[in-house]
Amino acid sequence: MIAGSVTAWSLEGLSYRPSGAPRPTVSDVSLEIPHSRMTAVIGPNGAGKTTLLRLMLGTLVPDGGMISLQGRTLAQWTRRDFARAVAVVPQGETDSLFTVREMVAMGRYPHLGPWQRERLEDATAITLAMDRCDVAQFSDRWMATLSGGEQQRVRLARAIAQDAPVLVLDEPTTSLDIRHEMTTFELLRELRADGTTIVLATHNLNLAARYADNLVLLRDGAVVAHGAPADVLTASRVEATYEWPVDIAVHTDGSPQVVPQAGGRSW
Amino acid sequence: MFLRTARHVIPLALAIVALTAFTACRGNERRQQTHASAIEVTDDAGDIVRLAAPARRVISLVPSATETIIAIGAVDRIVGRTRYDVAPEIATVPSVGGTIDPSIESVVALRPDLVIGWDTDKRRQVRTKLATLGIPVLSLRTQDTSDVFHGISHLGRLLGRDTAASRLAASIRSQLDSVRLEVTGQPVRSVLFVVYPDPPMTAGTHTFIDELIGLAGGRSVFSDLSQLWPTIPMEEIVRRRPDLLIVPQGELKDDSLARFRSRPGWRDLAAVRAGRVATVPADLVQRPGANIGNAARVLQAAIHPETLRRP
Amino acid sequence: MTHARALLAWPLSLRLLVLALAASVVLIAAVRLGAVSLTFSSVLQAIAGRGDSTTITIVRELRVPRALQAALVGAALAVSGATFQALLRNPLAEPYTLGVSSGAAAGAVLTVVTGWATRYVWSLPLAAFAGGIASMLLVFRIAYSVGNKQTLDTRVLLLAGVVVSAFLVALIWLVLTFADTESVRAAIFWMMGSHAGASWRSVAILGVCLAPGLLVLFALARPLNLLAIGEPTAAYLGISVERTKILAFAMATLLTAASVAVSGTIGFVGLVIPHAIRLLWGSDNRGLLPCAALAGAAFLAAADTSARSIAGANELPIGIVTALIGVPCFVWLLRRPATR
Repeated sequence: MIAGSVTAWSLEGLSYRPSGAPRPTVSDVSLEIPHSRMTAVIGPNGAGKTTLLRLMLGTLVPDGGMISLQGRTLAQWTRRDFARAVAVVPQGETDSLFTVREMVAMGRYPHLGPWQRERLEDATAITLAMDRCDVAQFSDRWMATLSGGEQQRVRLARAIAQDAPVLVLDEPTTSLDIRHEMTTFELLRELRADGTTIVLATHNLNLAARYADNLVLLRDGAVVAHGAPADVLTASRVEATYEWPVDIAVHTDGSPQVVPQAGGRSW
Repeated sequence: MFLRTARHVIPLALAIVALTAFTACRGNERRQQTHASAIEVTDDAGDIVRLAAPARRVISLVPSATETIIAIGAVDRIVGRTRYDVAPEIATVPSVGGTIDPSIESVVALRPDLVIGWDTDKRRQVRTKLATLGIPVLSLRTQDTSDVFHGISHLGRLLGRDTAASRLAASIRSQLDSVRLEVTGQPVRSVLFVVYPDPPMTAGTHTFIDELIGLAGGRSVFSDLSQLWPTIPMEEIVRRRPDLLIVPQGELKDDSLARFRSRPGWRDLAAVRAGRVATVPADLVQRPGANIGNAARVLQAAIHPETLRRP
Repeated sequence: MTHARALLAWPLSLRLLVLALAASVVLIAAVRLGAVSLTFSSVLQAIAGRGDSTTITIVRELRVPRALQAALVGAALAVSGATFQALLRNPLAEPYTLGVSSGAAAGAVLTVVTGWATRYVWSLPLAAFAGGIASMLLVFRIAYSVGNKQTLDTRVLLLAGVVVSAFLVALIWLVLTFADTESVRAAIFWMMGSHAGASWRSVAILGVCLAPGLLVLFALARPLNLLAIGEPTAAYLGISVERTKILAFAMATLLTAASVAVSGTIGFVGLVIPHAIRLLWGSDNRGLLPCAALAGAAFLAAADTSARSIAGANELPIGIVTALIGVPCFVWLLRRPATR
């Protein structure tokens, strides 16, 4: 049912409730994220996608359950080793006076000691990453002078420069136009073909369905379904989860495409 | 989590303090000359000032001491003054800056063999710095009239002008005595000496101003306060109803009475309404030095004008 | 503009060299200038112990230690300011943001008013140092007690710093209201900052306090870069966020407290020097920290020299000079068109 055999990330009985919140944001989630595959976490607003990612990355501490990466629990990983295994592209960051190249170079920090200077392999990784994300022409510009989409590409380049076997992206294409959204997903497909394990949270159901090997559908902090896109995205299930009537069309490549109907319920 | 932070920071800070104390204790203060000294004086801060010979190059950071030095005939020994010393006799002497923040470098460049400083310098920065450079410092207290006489005596000894100093002291004493005599029998007037009008500040007991006022036949309405220069609420002034206001006046020759008549609070005082506001030259009355005899006279003229002998 | 851009694309070694040269020039000028202007050769002679004994005293015991102290304090405040700006992710942050200056001032004022400063000369700097550290610990205590007790929320930290400062300043003025005139004068003079009390001893002590702090912070340059962008990002790129924050805060506070203890509260340097370097060469702390250290040293030594030579024998308080000179320079820097 789930494509890919070796497990990169394993979650068991994960639950989390922020202090003061009436209900848990994530409740009893058990998942296996397969190695070298692209897994997309989807769900309506407030379903807990970002929280789930944060728990997986160790930024939030779960109230219950266990998370293991490559066979070791999170507690057994040092921050530095984890950074060499998992690269993250966050949604947004504070403005600062760094150039694009300096920003991408930060992806190499987990590989360098405090007094160590950049080596040839670091410079190569940085250049390759910038070329791949098409930001090489911005190399000497301040981050703040770039558009939102361009900045996002720089952050992606940074994550690629990290050379980690796992790549996690939190809503990487939310503010991007068609061209940049498509190039991002094409790039992710390339990386996956190179063997990178990809986990991304996204709102774009249709692109997720076309590019991802596995989908995880969340609602109210629980897993509604997971598996191949064709298995997860059925009309009844999508309607029940998103509370809106939809039709499912089939793309030429065989993936299900969600087409919302007009005239459904109001708020 | 806080305890963890504290546990890291406190030992580190203590280590630094210990290192600091260690480095500090291995100081390199130059010692003052310990061989047989010709002149030795214990100053008002309790330190012993030793000179091998009478001082020939003096820098005075205390304006009233400068006046005393001039009065005992040693003006030629003054090689440096503060910017507040405006006596014409030393107009050509270079300035070293302020009274408690002089330029140490300027002081040192003038090669003094004695510096006169303030007893009340709370940070002792000047004194400490000059001490490490081997320059003797005489700390003077300028609080009451006995301080004035001690100061004159110390300066006389250190400058080798003991005779002139005793003569000066004697002449001041006789001036004070004659003022006291002339006001004997006069009714004691209640007085408020207005150091500063807003917020109101006066001279408390144990200041030389208060003593001189007493000598000249007056009594401060705040003689019960122990602070030296107390700030007093307007209400209290009104309640105590001083008969006379004495106001020190600087270069600005403004009409003090008119000013007080326009000030809220002050204008309601009986003394102000009746015009009983006397001005005295600020320089004279606020420098506890060689001029306190004249200061006493001026106060006598303000408090008991009827006792002045007609020329 | 391309010319300017080329000028500013210097490699780090060139930048450091130029700044080091500038600092050296300033230090030499600092020893040459003063109430009496000295030629370079007479300075060298005096340092070697030859020549007129007064000049020797002036150069060796007064000018050189003073110039060195100003340089060290300038470097410390600049590096500390850059660190706080990275940690608090706020361009308005500076060394005194977390209450160090008010704590130090409270300690200093206490020793002045109680008379300890008169009896035991070393008590003032010690109390200032202790006060600075204590106030930082108080701010941390408050910040940790809010919300999730495990992590340090930098916004809460900033707020706690502001309110603790306000409280301490009010306390200081309360004490001064009841103090005698001389104490008030002494306290105010101290708070305006001055290097007049510099001696070889104070320079040595300062060096001892500053060396570990500067070294640790230079080593933390990359983690500081990441923290300046965001704490989650820093964690994702391998930084132990809480540990690094605590270490960096502690070192920056140590630098600040030591500086304030010897020379009073000199403002402006810690805020503006890092920004000036940033405007020229960006936020990468690997270059920013050492460049800011050298620039801060040059700036404060220059300001101190001006403070004691411009008005004849009258010493201007250095905090005033740093602001009066610094603001126009900074505005000029700000107004340069945003390149790149």
